[in-house]
This record gives sequence, C-alpha cells and structure tokens, in this order.
Amino acid sequence: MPRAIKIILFFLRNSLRLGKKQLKRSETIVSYGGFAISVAILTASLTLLDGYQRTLKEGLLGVNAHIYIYDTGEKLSENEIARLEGFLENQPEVKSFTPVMMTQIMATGERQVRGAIARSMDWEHPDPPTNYHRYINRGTGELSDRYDAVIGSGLASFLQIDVGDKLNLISPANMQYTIFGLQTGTISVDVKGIYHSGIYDSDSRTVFLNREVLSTLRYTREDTVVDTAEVYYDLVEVKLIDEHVNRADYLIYLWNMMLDNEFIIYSWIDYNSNLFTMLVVQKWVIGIILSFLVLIASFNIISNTTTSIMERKKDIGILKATGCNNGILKAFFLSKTMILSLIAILSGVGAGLLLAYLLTKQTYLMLKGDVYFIEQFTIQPDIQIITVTVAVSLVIALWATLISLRKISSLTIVEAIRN
Amino acid sequence: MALLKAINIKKTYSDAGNVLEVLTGLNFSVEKGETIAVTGESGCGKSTLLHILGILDRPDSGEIHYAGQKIDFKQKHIAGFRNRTIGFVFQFHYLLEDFTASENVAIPQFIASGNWNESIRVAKDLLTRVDMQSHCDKYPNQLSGGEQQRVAVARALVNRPEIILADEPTGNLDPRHSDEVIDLMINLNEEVNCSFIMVTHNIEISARMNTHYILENGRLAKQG
Repeated sequence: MPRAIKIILFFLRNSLRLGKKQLKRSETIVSYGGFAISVAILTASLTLLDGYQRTLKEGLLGVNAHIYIYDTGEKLSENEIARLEGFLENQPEVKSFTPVMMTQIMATGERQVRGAIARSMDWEHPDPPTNYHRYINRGTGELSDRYDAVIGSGLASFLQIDVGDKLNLISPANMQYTIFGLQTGTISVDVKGIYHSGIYDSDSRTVFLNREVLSTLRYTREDTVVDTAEVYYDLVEVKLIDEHVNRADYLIYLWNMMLDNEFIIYSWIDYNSNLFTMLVVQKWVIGIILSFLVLIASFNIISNTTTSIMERKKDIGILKATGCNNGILKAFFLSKTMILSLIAILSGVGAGLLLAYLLTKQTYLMLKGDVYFIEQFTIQPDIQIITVTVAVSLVIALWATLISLRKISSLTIVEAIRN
Repeated sequence: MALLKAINIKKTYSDAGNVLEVLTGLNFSVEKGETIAVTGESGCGKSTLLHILGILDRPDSGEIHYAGQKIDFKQKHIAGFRNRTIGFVFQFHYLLEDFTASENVAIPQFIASGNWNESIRVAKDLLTRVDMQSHCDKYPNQLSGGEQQRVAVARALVNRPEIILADEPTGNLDPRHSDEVIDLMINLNEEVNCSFIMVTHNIEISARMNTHYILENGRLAKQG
C-alpha cells in the first residue's frame, strides 16, 4: 500500500477514535443533518415523480390496447374485420386482438347521472387487449348473461351502485319521436363486477357490455331489427408482445404499408407521447432545481470543514513542520469529510424513500384523478434514480470539501504554530 | 564542507504600512556536530532566523544550502526533505494532544517510512533514552512541562536528523527541568553527532555550546 495511503488511514483511524466526541457536536449534526434532509427531499421528489410516470404508463398500457385500427370512413364491416384478423394473426409482434364496439351513453343511478362510454367486451377471450379482468376487485368479470355489465369503481362510487344493483343506460342513438316528444330508449343492466385500474378516466367513465346489448344501444328504433342487421365495429384493438410495445409507432408505419393505407392506425404513443415526454422532462427539471437545494445545504459542509481545519491549525502546523506535506493533510480532511457526507447522503436517500413510501400510504393528500389520471401517489424505487441522486450529492459534497481544503495550502507553518 | 550555510539572508515584515527589516543580509554556517547558541534582544528575529534555517519560512532574498545543495523553497518535496534532515524543538512543546507520547514521537518516522510498527518501536527506544519509558502511553496533558519537552526532543531526533533547531526549548521550564533538557540535548549531540542550533536568552546555556552568536541589527556576530 502506498505510504501516503497508510498515513491517511492512520489519521482516519485516529479520527474514528475521537469520532464519537466529534459527532456529538451540534455543529456537525446540524451541518450534515441539513445536507441529509436536502438529499431526502431530492430523493423523495424524484422517486414520487418516477413512480407516477411508471404507474401511469403501466396503467394506461395495462388497461388499454397498444394499437387501434379504424376504418377510413365510419365503421368496420365484418369483411374488413375478417381481413384484419387474417393479417394480424400473421404478425409475430401481436399478442392478441379483438374488434370493439363503442358508443356514448348516459349512465344513471338512483339520483345521479353521468356521461360514459359503453364498450363491447368478449369476456371469453383468454387475453383481450383491454384486460379489465385483472382489475376486478368486486364481483366477477364474466358477462355471461346478455344484460350483464362491468363498470369502473369511480363510476360505481359516483352513481352509488354496487355489485348486484341495476344500472340504467340511455343512448342518444336509441331514440324515438313520440307525441310526447323525443323519447330516449333506456336499457337496464345488472352490475356483475366492479374493477379498479387506477386510471381515473377508465374507472369513471367505462361500462363493459356484451356485444348484443351494445348493438341495441347503438341503433335507432327505425333501423332494421338488431339481430338481423349486419354488425359493424368501431375499431380493432391490438395488444403487442411486451418487447415490442415501445416499437408501436414503427409497427403502425409498417402495417400501413402492408395494408395499403386502407385503414387509420394509431398507437398508444400517438395518444400519450406528449404526456410521457412532459413527465420525463418535468421529473428531471424538478430534479435539477432540487439539486440546487443540495448545493445550498453543502455550504454547511464548507463551513464545518473550514472550522475543523481552523480548530486544528496548530496540529496542522506541527505536522507540516515535522514533514507532512499538504497533499496528505488535504487527503485526510477530504476522506473524513467525504465519509461523513456519504453517511449523510445514504441517510438522506433512506429517509427520502421512507418519506415517499409514507406518502403513498396516506389518504389525506391525494391527486385529482381528472387532472393527473391517477389518484394515489405510488413509488417504484429505481436504482437509476438512487444512483443519480447519490452521484450528484457526492459531487456537490466533493466540490464543497475541495473549496474548504484550499485553507490548508494557504496555512503557513509559522502562522499556524505562532497562533 | 559546512552542513548548513545561509548566504545573505534578508527578511522583512510589513505591518500597517510600516516595513520592519528583521534580517539584513545575514551570513551563517554550521559544521557537522557543532552546537551553536544564538542570543539577542526580544524581537530581534531569532525565531525568524530559526524558521528560515529550518525551511519553515521563506527569506525575502538569499540562499540556504544543506550539505552543499541549494534549497529551493518551492520544491515539491521540501516537506520530505525537512522530515528527513531537520529536527525541531519549540519553546512550547507543540505535541499533538490527541496522540500519546510514543505516537507523537513515532509520527515523523511514520511519515518518512510508512511503517507504523517500526516507527513505534523506534519511538519507544528513543523515549527510553530520554528517560520517558514509563510514560509512553500517556497523553501530553498527563505529562509535566519537562516531560513534555523530553518527548519533543525525542520527536526531533526520531528520524536521525543531521541538525536540530531548538527555539528557546527551556523558555517555559523551571531551572531543574531546564537543566535536564539541556543535559539531554548535549548528551545526544555527543552520542549521535548531530548539530544543534539553539536560540536562548539564558547565558549559562549559551556558554555550554561550542559557539555563541548574538543577533543584532539583522546580522549575526560571533562571541568569544
């Protein structure tokens, strides 16, 4: 081991011997405690923002499909559906797909009314693109009877409806002129299951129905009898294999060429890319801003280290007089300060993660679902976030220490000994 | 060849616009094994001279030569040279309060060699020679003034320096302890043949040295 390292380790061990006395000093506790708190705030903020971003992405992708295929005109006919099914079965990136009907409705409870989207759901499909089965938390997801429905927890809560209750659905399409005026048609369904995906929009405004009931809601009474009419779908939803999810935009470019641009194809990226880009930018901008908080807290380290050097001015003078060079003395103080800083940083990271975790468990401060898409804080501790936080904090601590260490070079032996 | 040679050393201090010339072209040389006393009025620059000879401070102009080699004060390894070549005994012991007597003595050796076990062994040997073997594990605040100065003398000798510079080493001691320390230093000079330059106000002590200089008007004048 190089001689200089041995000398530094010797003085560090001696510092540890005196460590308990030094650590109990209020100045040390305040200086490094303040630094730890700033690191905790930075960690908690980045972790919460990262958790929000990941949860939102997982939620959106978990609840929704990855690719949406529409007709260029109005609806997709059965022939077009058949053609698309033949095409999609041959795409290796596709995990599952299903045609979907949708319509706007009014959902009514005993006293409340809310606008919603009714969607068809093939509940017997083993792995549909929009997989609400995973999020059923009351009742069942099986629409075994014609007039069964599954609704989101937000809608159920708003309409004060539970599993087993009746839900009335009114469709603007299902209207008839009568002597009493325009009369809307109402269909009553049984709520079989309630799901909670965590995505506010989906939980508050979606009603899953069997295809036959949805067809009834979509046609006016003057139309051909529903059972014999040709069935039209609004879109085909596609779910991709996990490793291809982030290539969705490239895949739709390919599929457009392969399908001769006969359909309009969108991906989840088209609908959400601005949102996720904004979230990433927001996360790192806030991280940079809060790093300044850590920088300001590092002034305490400058103060504490400078005070420590001045208190040991005589010892430094004696060591210099007996042949200890500036490099070794600086390395000793640097090592001591960086060890204390590392302890403060790791404590801060731990405290920040704990703070973020506690925020996810409390119910006093909640997010507004209609603004933030989800209502609950979530965290998913990420090693990258923690690594960046620790690295940035260490760099700041190192910078603060190096500023203080200039004092050692400027300290002359005679000045140190005489004073 | 002289062990230490000072050529035309000048040093001034500035204080609120006033310039004080302390050393005004001082010339001086020390032979190997020689003991030298430097006396003079308070504030005449004795300690300044010693600090410059010991490369603790820089002269404004002039040269210092050790064993024929000119000293470059800006040289990177000047601390190492000081560690190996020069020993200091100050008026106040200047021991490190957080270390024991043996650790204080060992540290200069450890800085030179990097071997702590060997350094401690050498330190304890030296403390035995200065009659401090039973105080090896005591801290400075547990020792008397004379004992502290003995430890400081042992520390100055640990790297077997060629020259020891002592700045009023008995200034804070009573007569009994002063005599003990001076006897110790003279005995060690005879044993290891290292040169001594001692700044003192004490005429009796200066009479026991080979050579006696008086520092006056920034220059040394030999006595006797």
